[in-house]
Amino acid sequence: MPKIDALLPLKPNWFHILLSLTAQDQHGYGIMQDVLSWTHGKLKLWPATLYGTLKKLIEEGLIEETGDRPAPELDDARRRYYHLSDFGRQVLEAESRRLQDLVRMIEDRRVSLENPEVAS
Amino acid sequence: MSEKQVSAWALKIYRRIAGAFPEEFRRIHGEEMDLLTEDMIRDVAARRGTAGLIPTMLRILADVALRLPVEYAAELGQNVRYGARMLMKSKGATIASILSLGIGIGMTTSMYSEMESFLLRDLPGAREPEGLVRALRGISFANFEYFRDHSGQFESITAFLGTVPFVVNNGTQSRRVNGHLVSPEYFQVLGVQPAVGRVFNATSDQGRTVAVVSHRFWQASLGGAPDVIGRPIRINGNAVEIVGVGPKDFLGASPMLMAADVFMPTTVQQRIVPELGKDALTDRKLAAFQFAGRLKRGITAKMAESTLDGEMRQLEQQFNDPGKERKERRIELLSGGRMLPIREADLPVMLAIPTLLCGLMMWIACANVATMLMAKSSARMKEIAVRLSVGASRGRLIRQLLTESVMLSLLGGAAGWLFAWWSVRQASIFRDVLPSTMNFEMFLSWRALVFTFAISAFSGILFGLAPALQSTRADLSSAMKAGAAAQLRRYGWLSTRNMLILQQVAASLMLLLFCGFVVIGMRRNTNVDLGFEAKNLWMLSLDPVRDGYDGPRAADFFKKLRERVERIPGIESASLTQTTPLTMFSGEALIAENENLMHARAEGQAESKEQKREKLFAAVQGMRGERVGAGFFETVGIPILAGRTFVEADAKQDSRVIVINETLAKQQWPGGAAVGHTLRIEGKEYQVIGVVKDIRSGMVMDVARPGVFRPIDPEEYARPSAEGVTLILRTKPGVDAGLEVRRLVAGIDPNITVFKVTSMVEQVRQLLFMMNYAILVYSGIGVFSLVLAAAGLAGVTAYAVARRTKEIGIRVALGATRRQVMGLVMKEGIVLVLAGTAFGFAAAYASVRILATFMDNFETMTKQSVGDPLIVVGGPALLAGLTLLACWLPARRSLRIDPQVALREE
Repeated sequence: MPKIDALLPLKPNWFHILLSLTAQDQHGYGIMQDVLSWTHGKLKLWPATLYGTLKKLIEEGLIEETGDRPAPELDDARRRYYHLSDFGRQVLEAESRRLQDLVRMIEDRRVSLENPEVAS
Repeated sequence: MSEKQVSAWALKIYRRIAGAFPEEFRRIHGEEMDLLTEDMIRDVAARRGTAGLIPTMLRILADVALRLPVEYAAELGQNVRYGARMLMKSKGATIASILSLGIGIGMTTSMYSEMESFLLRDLPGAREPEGLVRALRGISFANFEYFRDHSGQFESITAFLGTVPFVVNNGTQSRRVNGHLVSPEYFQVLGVQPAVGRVFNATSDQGRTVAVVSHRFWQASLGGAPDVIGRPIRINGNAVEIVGVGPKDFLGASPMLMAADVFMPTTVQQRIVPELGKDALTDRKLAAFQFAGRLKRGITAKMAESTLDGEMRQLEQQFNDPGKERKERRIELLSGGRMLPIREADLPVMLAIPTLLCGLMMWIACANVATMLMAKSSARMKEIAVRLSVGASRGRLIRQLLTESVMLSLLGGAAGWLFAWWSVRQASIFRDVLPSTMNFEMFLSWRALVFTFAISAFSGILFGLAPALQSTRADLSSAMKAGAAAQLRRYGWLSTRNMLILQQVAASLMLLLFCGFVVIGMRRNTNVDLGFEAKNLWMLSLDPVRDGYDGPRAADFFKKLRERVERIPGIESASLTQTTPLTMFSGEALIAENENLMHARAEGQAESKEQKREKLFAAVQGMRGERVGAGFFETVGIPILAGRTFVEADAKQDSRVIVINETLAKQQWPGGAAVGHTLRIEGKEYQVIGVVKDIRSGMVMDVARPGVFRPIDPEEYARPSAEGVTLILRTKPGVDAGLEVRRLVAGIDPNITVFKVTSMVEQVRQLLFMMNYAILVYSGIGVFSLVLAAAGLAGVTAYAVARRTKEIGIRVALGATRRQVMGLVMKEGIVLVLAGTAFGFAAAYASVRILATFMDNFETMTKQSVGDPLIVVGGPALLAGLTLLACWLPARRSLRIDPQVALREE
């Protein structure tokens, strides 16, 4: 398994897919809908890109396929469900901290730009 | 169309395209991906209708199109990693494959580079080189002027004389360089733009003493100075102004055979350039100028050739040229825009031999690796069966196996590139042995790199495909069942594997025989009698005219030299000559008529037109003329067969005596004495005073040509040849002729340079160098084919023994003798070797016959060796013996199989 640092910074697709699996296991369509929703339609994971990314995430050990399925009447046998692995969770947390550090840096700089005398 | 129909149609298109994903991806994610796409399409169709569906579909298809290469690249990465592990597992076979591919690819790349450097490379510096043509034979300047003024076939034409030696003094040192004398429009016709300054201008340069120098000369001898234009230098002792510098790599219109560093126009004064003396520009019989031109649009070389030929014949009739009754074509046009001027129709023939050799080498190397891979694949049957049973598609496995074979071939290609780089560097040693007028520049270009890569990849697919297809046809159940023994494939007689081995043996024998014919033919030709004793014979060149002397002063100098040189202790005899024996381009072409024909014309003898024509034709065909001084034949050691040779009294102005060689004597006066008869040469009658034995001239392979020797005319000293005047000395052993003569010359005049001092032994060695090098290369190719064939068969037999362990153990347990066991293992190999030998033999003879039909030199080289029993019997026997030995050695291992151990293994 690769080290966490080797995977950072995470590609946007990876980040959003991992994020959508934090709360619950999901299938591909569910992941796509989640990401579309919280990015307000800005990031649409088209099918080939989505499943290519899912394949890569499985290979890297960030997610795994889960056997837990909903009730048969709510399920479609063709769907596969994905679960965020422990390693994936660690990577997601590391990426989140990195992004938060970036946001903090931006906020600090914005204060300086607006108030040069404060900066000096 | 309803939304439902549109959706269904869109999904259909999507499924077709998405089916292109790798099987593994389709198996794991395909269904869900299809489901997701279905949901998306229905959703969009419901919300936005048909109009909204189109952009969505395009987006989906773009998404698939962008993702496909990513997935295949990921699969390729997997295949490469796995393939690397497989190759490392069998290091011996991998190294052997890389080596054999490396040699095959390396030699092929070297051959390609050679072809590119000489046959395919455009003339450096020329504009639109494809539009340029050159005449095969020289013409007179007067005839060129006629064509320039009258011929409607060309946009523009030029004439040049090369090679012309110039002694150039740049103010600090003198250097003898080669150059061209050119008509003023030379650079414009070639479309050459100068790097510095300008080119010649017929109007403004009239009467001026100007020169253009090559880029490399400017860099090497003039310091690459930007202010070179207008700088005076001295050429042949005269002040000359440089008006321009040629572009980089431009060395004239014939850079390979007549590389030029200095260009002077034909309008300069005769005293500066001796070649312009003796009516050189007006004498219609002096066919010394090369002719090049740019054809008009719509005019082909064939059309121009036909027209010019007709015009030339008319000029010959008009000016009563002695050769006007000749049958052969006067004008033949070659492609003038390449490094080597050749006929377009000849290009395929010239490429035929290297293509054949390289094709055979690559075929043998690929067949060798293919048979090894097939043998190895039998050991991987279980692995393949397991992978097929857990869902891997045949296509996936074939891609995996092909990846391994392409990796192997790319590694072979890398090794081949190194080999090609090394051999191109070795080829640069030719530069030291070829005449200074020739420019031999071989290099590896980016095209060669692309070629190497392409041939590597192609060969990887070629030799990998058969084993990949065969091994993935695995019978799963038997492969999984009984372990290693069940992996044994019984090869039918016409199986792919056997055909590969048979082709390999046939191709190896063909290559071995072909190379054998060439090597033995070359050896025979290099052992011919030179016609004289080469030991203790020295040649030194002098060129007083180009050192600043005029004709009479040069004649006086040589008279003094001749008188004094024989007084030097250790020098037995000396003579002068304007040509040197056994050089590549010795002598001059002459046309002659013998007295019978002359008298027939004069007396109106009733000889038929055909008889007259035949005599004339026999006289003029390929005759060479040399100018030699008194004592030449005695000094060189050429036996005198009849009459006498030249004495000092013969070396006078307009001397009318000649000595001829025995070939000319037999041709013109068969069965009778030649001495006392007459030949007319260049309109003058000469009496034959002696006949000498033939000596080899030009390329050693050439047959002896009719030759005539005329005494040096003192006036000729004013017009020395490109090699100057040669002093030939016969010395006692151990005498340093060069040192002694330099001292003597310095004593007469220290401004005269003695250059090109060489012994005849060294001269012969240089002339034979290329032949000996070619013998080495062809011998190497022959050995390569032998080794590969043997190694291939050894490997295959070894695997067969390993895989038949159980069977052999059972047979031995049941009472099979050693002989029966050996026979079992070797039977297949013996039959394949014999069949391959028969095919290879027939193919070798057929290819030699075909090539000999198209190439005279090849026919000359091989006509004796083709029937040589050493090759005809020895070659096949050697290959068959070696390959059978290669089968026998691993087969011996089968005798050591302990039946109990073999049966227990399973």
